[in-house]
Amino acid sequence: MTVMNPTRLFRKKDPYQNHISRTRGEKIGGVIICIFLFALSLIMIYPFWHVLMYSISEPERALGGGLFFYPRGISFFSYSLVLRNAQIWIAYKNTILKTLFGTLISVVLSAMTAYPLSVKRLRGRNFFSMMIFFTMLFGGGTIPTYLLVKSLSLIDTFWALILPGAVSAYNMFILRNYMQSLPSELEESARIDGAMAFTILFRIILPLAAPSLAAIAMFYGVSNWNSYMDCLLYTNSTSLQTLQLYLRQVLLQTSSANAAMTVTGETSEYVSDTQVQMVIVAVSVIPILIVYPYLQRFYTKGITVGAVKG
Amino acid sequence: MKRTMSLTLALVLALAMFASSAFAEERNTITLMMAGDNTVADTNMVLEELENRLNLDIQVNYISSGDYSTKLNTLIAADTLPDIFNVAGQTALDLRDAGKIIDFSPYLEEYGPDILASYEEGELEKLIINSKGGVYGLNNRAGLSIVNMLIRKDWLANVGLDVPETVDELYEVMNAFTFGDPDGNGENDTYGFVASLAADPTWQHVFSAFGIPYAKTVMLEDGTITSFIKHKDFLDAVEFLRKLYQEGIMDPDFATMTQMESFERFWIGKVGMFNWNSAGAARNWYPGRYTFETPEDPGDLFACVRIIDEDTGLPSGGITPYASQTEYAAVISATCAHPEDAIRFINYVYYTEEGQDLTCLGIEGVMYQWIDKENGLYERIGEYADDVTHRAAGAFVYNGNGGWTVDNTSIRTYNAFAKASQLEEREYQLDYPFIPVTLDAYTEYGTQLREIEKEALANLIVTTGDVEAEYAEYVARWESEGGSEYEAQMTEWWNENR
Repeated sequence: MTVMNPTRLFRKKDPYQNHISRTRGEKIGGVIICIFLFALSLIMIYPFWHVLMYSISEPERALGGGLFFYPRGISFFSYSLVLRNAQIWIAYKNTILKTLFGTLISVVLSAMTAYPLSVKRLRGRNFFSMMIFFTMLFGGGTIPTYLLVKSLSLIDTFWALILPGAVSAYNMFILRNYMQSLPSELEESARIDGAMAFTILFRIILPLAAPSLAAIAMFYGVSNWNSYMDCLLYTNSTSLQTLQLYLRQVLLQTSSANAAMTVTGETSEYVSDTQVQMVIVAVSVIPILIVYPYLQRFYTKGITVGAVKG
Repeated sequence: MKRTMSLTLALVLALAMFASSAFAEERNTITLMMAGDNTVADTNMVLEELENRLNLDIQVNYISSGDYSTKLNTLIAADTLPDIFNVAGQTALDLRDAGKIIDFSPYLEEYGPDILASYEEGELEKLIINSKGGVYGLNNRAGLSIVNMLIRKDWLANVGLDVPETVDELYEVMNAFTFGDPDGNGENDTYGFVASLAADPTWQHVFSAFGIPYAKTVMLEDGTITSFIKHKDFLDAVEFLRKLYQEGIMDPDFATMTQMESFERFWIGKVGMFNWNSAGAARNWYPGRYTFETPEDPGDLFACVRIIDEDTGLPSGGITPYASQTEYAAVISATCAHPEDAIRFINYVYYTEEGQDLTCLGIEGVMYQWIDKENGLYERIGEYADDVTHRAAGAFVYNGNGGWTVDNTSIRTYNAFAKASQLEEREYQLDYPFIPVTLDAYTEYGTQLREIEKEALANLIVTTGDVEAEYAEYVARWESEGGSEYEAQMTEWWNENR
């Protein structure tokens, strides 16, 4: 029977073994950095952990307050009550539709704006780019935008949640920069083969710009999921209410102590108002939290690929 | 044949169209924007019933209270105001002066008789917005409940003490409620006093015991109207609180605790004495919010504490609640096509018993029924016993206060203890110089001055340094950061108007 030497085993796996060995100071520094980063990540994770643990604790035991490193008993009663409320499903539906359609429309419009601006032979390219860039520095403002939305008869329509913020200048420039970095020979050869502008865009450019498209889709998606101001200002009907506005409404219900009553209406079994708020926060964050790990790599990638100057 | 059939069909169709338009009930439309924190569908039973009773098409834009001003400011700037909305302070006066809201006094006699009847002679003119003549706004006089200091009788019995009547007895009870195991669970897990800096009422009675109206204005001996922190006995009250804090009788989280958390301490039995109005604590919260066993009658559980004032020898009550004269529950925009209908709506919903009951309790016989109407006893029927269903059907949503009159559905449905304790508290209420207008200095420095007051209170309670010196520093800071200007304006206003 062969007994393996643990030290040897460790050495084999040590990534520094074949490189420059670290000094004692570096090792200590590394440990300190690790501890510091670990503490930092705990600080960042804890607020959400607190919300999550509070939300699944037994309502009566959660009321004591303090830190929640683990749930005080397990109860999903508040979740079941919150999810029974019809308005949360209406809000969910609206937010999902807004995120899906809003993102799709935004990406298509951004691509269709970015492509011509990336073509060097386009006359007035710099002028149009500057015009769009200008909106990044000076926005139209809430009131003029409201008046525009109103004059377009979009008030209290679903389109008011999508169209006003459909194209972000920042995202468009990321895409334009990426398209500029593509070899112009690809477009030229397609043109020689008889392809027209739309064919070149949809068959050549966009497939090649997939990483950048994914990144801006992510930006648009998160932005659509989180936005609430457009819903507040441009809609009046509760049937168009989005999740974030609903969440905010529930979170603001602290003065009259009726959050639980409003959302759940349950009086036969005890429900804590704070817990209802925690549940709503968790419910609104969980979907994006599930999706985020799969998409977060596009954040960095999207910005770096777009940063390549053409 | 085909031709005849076609002609006949066309004729029938045309007649049907004429008939439908001739017999269709033409309803005027009114739009209103209101703040509230319920989640309700755009169409619901109560709204439909209201539309039928008033023969109106009512479109409600229901905004979360925290977002109301944002939305209103946008609509004001875009000049797209709804017919009826609520607005406060200088914004209201600006709208009046700009002609954006109307003087609806010409409509009151015919369409708003109950509104007129509810105000005493000259009362409407007292509202700042109406002070130049005409009626531009109405205020909400509901919800003016006075704060009680409720104490649990079962805890008193457990520690063998009576309802305290002096500051010393108050301390003794608080001490026993902390260390005497008042809940009998054998654990040291209770506090004698819980208050939150985020909830002014939670401090009221402790300060009232020293004759100080907490977070309000006071008049100094020289006639100056100023902040309560400059009251001659402020340090005495602070010393009392310091003692509670240092001895572990007061919940140490008072500076960071939210209002809701302070409620929760009371609901779960971590504290047996709490400052809040009995309408909330002994009716709205009762018994559903309390996690411990509660008797059927809240009067069997709670008593009210009123400390005898050493100077006057009278019990000290909660602070006198005043109806705002700068917040207008309803104004009517100049673009309103049917102001008479707007007045009719306001009159019915907020000033008549029938309208108040409908919008607060729901449809009688369908959603609720009276058990003893004289004594305000009712029960919700069937599925409407559930709050979600009740509110989803529109009850309570458009009329959370029970009406804008002093006597309203909410008051009429108080239980006996809430009624009696509110009335009794009024007899001993602590009055203060109420400034109903928004002074310039308040607009400029008000928020900042209030923050200084809170910071002063928090630090003076926990400090281990020289309390008097620190107090003097806070007062000096309060005065130098706009307080002197504010008190000069308050004093001037008081001398001119009272």
